[in-house]
Amino acid sequence: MTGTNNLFAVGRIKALESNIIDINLWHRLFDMNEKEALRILQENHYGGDSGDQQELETMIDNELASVHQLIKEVSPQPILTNLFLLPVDGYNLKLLLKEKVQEVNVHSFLHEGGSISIDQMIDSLNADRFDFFPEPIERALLDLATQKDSRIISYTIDQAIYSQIFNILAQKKNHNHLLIEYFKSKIDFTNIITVLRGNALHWEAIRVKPMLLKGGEISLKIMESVVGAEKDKLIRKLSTGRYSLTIRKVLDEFYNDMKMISLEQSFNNALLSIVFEEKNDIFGLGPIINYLLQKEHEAQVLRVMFTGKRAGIELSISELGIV
Amino acid sequence: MSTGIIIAIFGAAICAALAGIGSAYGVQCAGQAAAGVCAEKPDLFGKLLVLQALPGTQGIYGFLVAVLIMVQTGVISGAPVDLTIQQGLAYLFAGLPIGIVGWWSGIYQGKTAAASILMTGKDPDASAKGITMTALVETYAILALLVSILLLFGIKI
Repeated sequence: MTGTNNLFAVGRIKALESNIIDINLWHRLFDMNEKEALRILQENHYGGDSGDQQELETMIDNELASVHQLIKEVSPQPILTNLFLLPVDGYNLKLLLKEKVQEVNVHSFLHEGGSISIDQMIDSLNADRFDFFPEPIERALLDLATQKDSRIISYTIDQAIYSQIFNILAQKKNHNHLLIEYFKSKIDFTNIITVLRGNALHWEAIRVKPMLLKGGEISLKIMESVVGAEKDKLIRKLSTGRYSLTIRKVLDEFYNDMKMISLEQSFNNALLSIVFEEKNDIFGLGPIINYLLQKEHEAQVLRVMFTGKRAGIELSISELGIV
Repeated sequence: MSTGIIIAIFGAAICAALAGIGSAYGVQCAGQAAAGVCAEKPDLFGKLLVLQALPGTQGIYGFLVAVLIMVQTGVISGAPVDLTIQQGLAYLFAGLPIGIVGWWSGIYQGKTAAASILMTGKDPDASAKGITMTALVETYAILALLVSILLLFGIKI
């Protein structure tokens, strides 16, 4: 990418990067009780400057909504940066579909900041008119018209979201190696977590296979072959492709402590490191995407940290993926 | 007007134009980054302005050499000297170092200035380091300016 209008966007993002919670603040938050930690977050203007005492979830929602809004505003290539907002749409769609099935109101759990407006999404779903959505999502919604199994709803929507992402990347052939690498790795890491979770719960292959997402670098055949497999076989087969060393390291660590949360955080960090390599490419999308992912990671860590504080669970700072 | 003086005028024009293009691009590049940072941190305007201005010097160097050529050849006083083709070419080639180096160093200095502006946006205390790093690119424009001036003063008419 050579466009210099990128520089304005990167300038705004770099000025805001100093607001990302740094390692010192993480340590302080980690050592405090819930109430004090919330106060510190508010003092650091996390979640905006409403002045009122807010719940953590409200603060996180406000913070992420403002980040998503900023990305939409400044992005020199909104088609590409919107790909990172599609998972928010996926999350909202899953909730709204489950709302229909289970007849509960989920509107307060919906997240602002996706690439599709929530109101439009609700109107389309209520009217059963799906042509408003991108083609893979429209197809998935038609397939799910009578579906009541929330698990099938979840992975059908996830697959549709990734299909849409790769459709757009295929149309924009230039300058997207970072994005292809990121999303392919994300699918691989998600599939590995699915397999390991299935293995831990002793699920049979027939239950795990439909949950595996297509489009990753590691073939579905390899993924399916390790469902129910022992440690050595699993590590040997999955340690393949561009990130074979990372996968081997993360799996070795997982089999040492058997903590799913650490596994998820390690894969999350591996994904962040893919984008991190390009965070100083001031003429590319790297800094913008890196900021978005850092803020999403920050929100995720805050949620886990506060849940741990409320439940009285001792979590180490490395388990939370803070490096 | 002789062919020689036309070639010398072309030399003056080319060194001012190329160095000016380089500076314009560099200042624009740094300006966009500065505008982005200022949108979030307006109090950094002063520090960013210095960084944005740095790539502008190449254009001034190009202008300076162009004026020297015009003075030496009498174009500026309205009484152009009757130059031979060889003398005209000598003026053209004397202007080329600052023209070409000013063009490219302006572009590269602009990119370095933009990166330094982004660094300052993240850490305002780092602006002095940014200025130093950006100013280093200037070295080659100054050397080219020196060569152009020495060549100019070596031409006998």
